[in-house]
Amino acid sequence: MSAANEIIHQTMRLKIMSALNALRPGAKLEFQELKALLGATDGNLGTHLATLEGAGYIAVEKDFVGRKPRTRAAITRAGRRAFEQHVDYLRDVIAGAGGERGATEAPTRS
Amino acid sequence: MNISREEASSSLREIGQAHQRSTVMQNYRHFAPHMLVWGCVWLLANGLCDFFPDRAGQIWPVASIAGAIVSLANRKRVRGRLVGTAAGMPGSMLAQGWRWVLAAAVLCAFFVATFSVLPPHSGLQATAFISMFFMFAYMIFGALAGLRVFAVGVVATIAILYDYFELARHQFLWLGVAAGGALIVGALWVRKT
Repeated sequence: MSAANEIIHQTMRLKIMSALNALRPGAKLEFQELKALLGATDGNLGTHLATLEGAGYIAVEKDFVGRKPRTRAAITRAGRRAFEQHVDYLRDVIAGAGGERGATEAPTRS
Repeated sequence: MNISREEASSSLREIGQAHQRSTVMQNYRHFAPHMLVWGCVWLLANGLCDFFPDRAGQIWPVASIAGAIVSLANRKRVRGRLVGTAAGMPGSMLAQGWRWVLAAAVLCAFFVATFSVLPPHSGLQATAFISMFFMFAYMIFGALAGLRVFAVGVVATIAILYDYFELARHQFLWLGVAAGGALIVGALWVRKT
């Protein structure tokens, strides 16, 4: 049975996960693209990306294109699974099957 | 942490919107380089046809093959950038190269069959028909994958029709400038998502 995921459920993190989950496996979105896509500020997006990375749900890659720094994010396999479980939970709530269930323990990266 | 039905419903709506926006952005990133390439091909080939109308039968096949090669190379580059593979094109995609050749052959056969049933009165008529065919395909693709591509298809089609019916001279050149230009400007617009 799926359950609520406190890390993913926060609005901005939910949108980040959804945007990254829409990509093909291995594909990445650049920081600026995510920012434009979600209407987030630099600081806000950076904080949420760090939280999701800390949970092992996304992988953040930093490099340089010429002299310009570039940050890209991709969803991990664990992230995809956790996101899908959270979506299942939300559907269960709407169907009336899981409204009173509590949140799962926030998973941490091992 | 208890989530109400309303909150769950609102969350699913937000998930759907973010998913949709991300998908459209991916489609644009894949499609923009092709639009740019074919905008340049149309501009160049139609421009040359205007100055050398007798050579249209040679200009277009060469330009189309060149455009297809650059388009495939672009596809490899964009995919490599998105997925981050060193080689850019995974084996499965290389193995499917024959499907692209088959698709190109089907398109050529379609136009040959169409023009044998409905012979065009002029080279301009044939060019306008082929150009419009692709622009209507853009509209269909745009309706499904991203409305900016749809808008580019509409603008280019209007430009083609205006050029065909209203202009008296240098129609090939204007076809290239208007329709090719619409694709080039459209590609930059689509890429700037």
